[in-house]
Amino acid sequence: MSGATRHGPRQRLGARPRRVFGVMVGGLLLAVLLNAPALEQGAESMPYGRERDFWLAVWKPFAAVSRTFYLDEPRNLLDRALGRGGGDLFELPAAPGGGEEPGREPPATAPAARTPAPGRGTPAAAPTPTPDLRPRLRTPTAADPLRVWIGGDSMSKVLGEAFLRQAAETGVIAATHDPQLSSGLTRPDFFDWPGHFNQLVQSGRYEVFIVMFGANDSQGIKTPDGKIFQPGEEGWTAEYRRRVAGVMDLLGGGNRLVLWVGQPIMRSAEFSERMAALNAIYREEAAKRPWVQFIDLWPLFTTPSGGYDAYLADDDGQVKEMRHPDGVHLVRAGGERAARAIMAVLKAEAKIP
Amino acid sequence: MPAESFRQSPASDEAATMQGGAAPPPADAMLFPTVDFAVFFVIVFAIAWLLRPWHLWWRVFLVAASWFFYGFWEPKFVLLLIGSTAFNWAVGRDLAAMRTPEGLTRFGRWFLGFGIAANLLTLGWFKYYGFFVHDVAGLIERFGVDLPLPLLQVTLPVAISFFTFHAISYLVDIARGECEPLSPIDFALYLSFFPHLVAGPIVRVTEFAPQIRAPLRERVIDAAPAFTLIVAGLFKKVVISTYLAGEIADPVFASPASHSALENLFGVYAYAVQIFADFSGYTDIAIGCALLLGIQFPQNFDSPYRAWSLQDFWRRWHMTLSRWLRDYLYIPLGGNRGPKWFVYRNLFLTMLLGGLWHGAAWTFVAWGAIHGAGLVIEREVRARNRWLGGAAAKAAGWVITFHVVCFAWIFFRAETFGAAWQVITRIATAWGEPSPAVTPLLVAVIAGSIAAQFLPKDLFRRFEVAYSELAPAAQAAMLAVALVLIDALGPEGVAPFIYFQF
Repeated sequence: MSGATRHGPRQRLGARPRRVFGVMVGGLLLAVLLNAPALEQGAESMPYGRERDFWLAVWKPFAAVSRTFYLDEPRNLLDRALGRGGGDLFELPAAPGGGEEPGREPPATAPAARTPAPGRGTPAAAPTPTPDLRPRLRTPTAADPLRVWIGGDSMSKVLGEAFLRQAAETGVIAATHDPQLSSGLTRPDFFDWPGHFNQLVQSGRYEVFIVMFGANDSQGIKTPDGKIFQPGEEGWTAEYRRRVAGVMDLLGGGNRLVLWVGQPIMRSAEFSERMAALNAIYREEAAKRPWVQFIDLWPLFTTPSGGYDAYLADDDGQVKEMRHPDGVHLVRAGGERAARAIMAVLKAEAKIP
Repeated sequence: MPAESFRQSPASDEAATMQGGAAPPPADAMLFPTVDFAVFFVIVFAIAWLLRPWHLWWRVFLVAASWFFYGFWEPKFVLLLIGSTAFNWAVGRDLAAMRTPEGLTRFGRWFLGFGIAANLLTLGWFKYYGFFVHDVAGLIERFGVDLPLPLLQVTLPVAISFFTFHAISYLVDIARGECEPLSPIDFALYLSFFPHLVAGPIVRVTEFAPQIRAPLRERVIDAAPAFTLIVAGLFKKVVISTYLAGEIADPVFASPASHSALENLFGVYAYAVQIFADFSGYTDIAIGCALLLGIQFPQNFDSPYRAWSLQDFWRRWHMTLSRWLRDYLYIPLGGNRGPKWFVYRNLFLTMLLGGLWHGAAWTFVAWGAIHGAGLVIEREVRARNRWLGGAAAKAAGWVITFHVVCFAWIFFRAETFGAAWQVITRIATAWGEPSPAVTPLLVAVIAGSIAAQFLPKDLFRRFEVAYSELAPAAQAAMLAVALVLIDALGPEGVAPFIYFQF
């Protein structure tokens, strides 16, 4: 990893432009052939639309040639060695132990078999909240801290960092931060959250899950039977609701508490509207489940008149920059503010002074 | 923009947290390590070499390609680039008329000051307005002066720091009589040539102009060094930098208190390697691309972690910036002429301003101050003849230099002084705690990256010679295998580039 080599007066390693062009184009074409499946997968994980169709059309023939002549094998081997790859189905693990009742403690055995869940709609009837399904968190100590997982999409990055700092201050909360940029519940082909959550739950490590999704979710969604719906359509809402419900059920049980963090107001009115629609789904689904609490960030990031502003008065009265110039993400002060709201709920639940 | 900006490119996400909310690289910028750029470059390469015999059209085409490259991210900022080009070209032309054999006329000096100030004010508006409103105005208010400044979030146009540097060096070089004004098309190409546009290296007009003015003698490309630079640059940027950032540097700096002393220490070491890999990787790609188009750029990094003194470090780290700071800031301040303390003041101020250039935050000023103070102390030790010779002294010098540089990086990377202080206190106190983040692979990557800087230079040279002697098909195959390996080992999506924010 040395720096650039010096191009002083010395023997020149000259080549004619035509030859260099040949090497460059030949190298890139060969790279595309060796890499076609990966490129195709990259295109597939783009939001459903014209741009995605264009790139898919570009990569498809390459991928076909690549597969025919097994040129993709080296890359596949590499990916397997690095433990990458995944499908595009939103597969919720079969309810552990076949239990109809979410919230029942899963047996701490091997991971449940994962089956595709075509047509598994929303639970026909919301489970009746019964007191025994409401988690009772123990009061943690420094020797045996509360084990908390916090993660989600890029919005959970700054939030999680702030939460980690505040958790360290309590001395009795051990937090694990696991943000996956550009991910969400809409595109499991980009990042397989159900599979990931299933592993986390099976590990038995965590007592509290703090999740935040939505900023990347307002895009085309594919149902188990292959239909694609766009945000705002009824099919979209039903499928997204099914996934939110599924994840909440997956994370619940075993006396685990789930804190589901909603989206704050956004700079773009249109984007705000979409986030408000997702918040409504989170709120409704959380209300059906005693082990899930919805944490509403919206009022924390609005002006007194209810609008968006990057600069807001903080709890100490100081006006601070809370939002990123992109009009979406939080910056440090905003993250701290949101984390305090979550921490307040968590402290009350675990009776941490 | 928001929803659409969440393509499968996390570029807009991570940068937000990189430096306390500094401007992020755009989600859809044409970054070097993308398919978009590869396609763009192949097309530009073919047309540029076809047009090369028609000298004027060749330059016009390269300017158009550069503007397209810049506009790909945010079309409206192309106007800024064009405006800056027109303004600086006109100032340069008029400045040349104000030169006398003794130097600039009195009015000429004013006029040069006006030209530089206009460039700095533009940069200042985009880059420092927020900092001024948040921090400086707050300081002034403590003295009872209330500045009614609106709180605005100004979007920082990518590359503005770099084309401001190019423009100022052009004006000063004309004023000093070191170069003649360029024609509008030559100047437009100098300012916006796409390989150096976004993140340097900072190229001198005296280095660049002769290369684009020279009539074509032979159509020969230094291809082997170019490909080597591009592939090595991609590997550093896409694989090494991303791995270290995600694995330990980002988590540690986000919450030092959640990590042990060892993790904090390795978080700092990792960041030192990360910023080198990221930045030198990017400029290596830039130098390689320019070379493929027949233009030589100056070297920008020369194994900086080999340095055995801070002075040595600054001769190896971001060399084109050091050179710029020396010629356009340090020397005008008085440079080495004058009493010792005056020279030390110049040195310290230069580093302080160099720090502030990197970002609008006090932590960057602290970074500059540490380097400034270190350089002054080093000079004083030398002046008193306390500088020891010998291999052992050199080794000690290397250890001390590396750790002073790392210490300064803590302030460079931390979002606040509080966070920087926390990293330092954790390193001092939190020993004996479990350190799951410090894995053998991580230690190997950090150690290997630093050790690689001690490799003899002619090793790369020998590789380039061997590569250039291969048949074209073999060259293409090697290129392809390298690209696939980098893609497989790299992250999913393109990580942001640290230096976009500077």
